Amino acid sequence: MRFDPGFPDPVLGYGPKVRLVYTAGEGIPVLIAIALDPVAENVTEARHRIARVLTRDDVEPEHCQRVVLALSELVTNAVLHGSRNPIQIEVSLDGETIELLVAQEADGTTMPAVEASGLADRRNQIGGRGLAIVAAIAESVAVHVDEQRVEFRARFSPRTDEPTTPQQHK
Amino acid sequence: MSARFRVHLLSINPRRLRIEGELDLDACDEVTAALGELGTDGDVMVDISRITFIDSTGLNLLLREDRDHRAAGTRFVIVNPSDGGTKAHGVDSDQLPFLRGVR
Repeated sequence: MRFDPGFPDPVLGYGPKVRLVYTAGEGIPVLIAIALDPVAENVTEARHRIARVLTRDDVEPEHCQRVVLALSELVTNAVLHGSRNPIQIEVSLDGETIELLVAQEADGTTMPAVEASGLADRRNQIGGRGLAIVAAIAESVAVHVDEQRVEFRARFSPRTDEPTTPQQHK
Repeated sequence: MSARFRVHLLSINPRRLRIEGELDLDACDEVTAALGELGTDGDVMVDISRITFIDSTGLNLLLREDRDHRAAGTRFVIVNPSDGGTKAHGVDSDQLPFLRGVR
């Protein structure tokens, strides 16, 4: 793994509100790790940056879209309910399985807010569904919460559903 | 205005709006303001055919508008939903039942 704190990635670049933490070296399955300020515009920014990396690595569009949607939900959650510390995002590729990490440190005054119940189904409410969406589209979701840090890890495997051909039974 | 989304007022009577681009947290305030200007005292139609991405923040925005219009006795109508919405994410209404609340 190669630390690269001082200059922009030739593919990704970075703006004033996005800090490239490190990029994966050869043989390391981490595709990208970035840290973003917890502001609304970085929800969009995160999606675009991660989508570019996944597209560059020839990840199937449907596979990519699920990861990007989950990323949007988790970063939004951190912006709205988290601390003022940067949001850490890491995408790893284990074979065809993509692991998405979104984490944030507490800042001493505001604990990043995570409700485990956010993963539960709350059909009668408006709002609070971001984590339920992540749980619905990911293969698995792991949540780690302590006084210093909140961390989500979601794994996405390519869907293997066979296309339906109803006419073959006629 | 962000280049990643746009809000177009198509007509005042009937009240029609078109949202283009990515409907997420970054777009939410501006879209909410545009819908607020139209009010809930009459039917509102929102064309989302040119939405390329929507997450739960965008869906919640639409659901709140629907709820507010129902409370006011008017209709909030979503027209021309595109594959840029939930279908593009591989999510169907069985996984996200609240989508049935959007009409």
